Amino acid sequence: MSDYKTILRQCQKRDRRAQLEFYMLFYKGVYNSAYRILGNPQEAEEVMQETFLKVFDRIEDYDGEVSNMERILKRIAINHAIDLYRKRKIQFISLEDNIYVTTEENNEDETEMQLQLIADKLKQLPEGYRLVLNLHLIEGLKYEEIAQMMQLTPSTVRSQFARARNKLIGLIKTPSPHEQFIK
Amino acid sequence: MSNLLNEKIKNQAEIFDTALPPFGHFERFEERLERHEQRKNRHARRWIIVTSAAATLALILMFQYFYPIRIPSATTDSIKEVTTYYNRQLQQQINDIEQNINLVNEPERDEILKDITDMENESQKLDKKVPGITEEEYIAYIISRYNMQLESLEHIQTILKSLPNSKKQNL
Repeated sequence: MSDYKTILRQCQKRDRRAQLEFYMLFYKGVYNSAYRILGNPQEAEEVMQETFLKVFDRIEDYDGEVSNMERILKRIAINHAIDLYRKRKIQFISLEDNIYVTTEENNEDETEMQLQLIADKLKQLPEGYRLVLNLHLIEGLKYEEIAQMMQLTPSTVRSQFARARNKLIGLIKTPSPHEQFIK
Repeated sequence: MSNLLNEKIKNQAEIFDTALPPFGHFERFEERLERHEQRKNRHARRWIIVTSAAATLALILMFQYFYPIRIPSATTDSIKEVTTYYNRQLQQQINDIEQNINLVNEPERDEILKDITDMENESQKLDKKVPGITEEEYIAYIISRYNMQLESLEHIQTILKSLPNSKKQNL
């Protein structure tokens, strides 16, 4: 397999093989960014493909390191996915009530917390909460950036994030009936 | 706990990239990339054709602007044809009148000759189109003018034709 810079140069020459190598290099991260927002494999794949085609159309404008390119690809995918998400007309704000809110004085003894458990519990969160946690914690977007994408105010995003995080902590601390049975 | 959770997730975000696209995604992308490139090439070709056509048209228009092709003026020709036709008829009538003009006495003769001269002068001016009206309108105008002149000349002729008989009778 060629190194990234060679692949990029060949992509700029519209070399099909290099374009496919480029795809293989980044598809997983791009797909996951879209999938975390949309929660639908087909839609996430569509977003992923669109993202690569968009980048190939303007590949001459890009240069630099792999990490930069990954960031660019993920950002394009996230923007596209959020556009799709908004088209579904899901009310982002409508998830305020009926949540289990833990307080800051919770026990700090979390050393045994497993990331796999977090990932599983993230999936159980309501869509709006999952989205804001994904964008801020996993994708590393700032509140202001999320607010702009979602057409909300940063303070709304911040409070939504706080609620989502508390809900996640609550889920982590409360084992599901299935988990209790195993214990 | 909140901060710990934040840190844990942020530091190992890539661990969450566990999902895989549906089976066959690579082949589907390959096909889509192919279609995308073909469409782009088609657009590029169309763009080249359209811009070439536009450039050619612009060149033709510029050439026409700087070196206008002189198309013979149909307007001038049509007016000339009409004036030539009527002038010929007028001239024939005038010739006929001049043959018989001696039959009338001098003051009347002078008057008739003056009228004829005026008519000739007027008819000479008619082949120049007046600006501001269409060709058809102008042709209709000059025909009406010529017809009036011909009617006047015919009237004079009728009088002249009737004169010799009376003169003869008088003589």
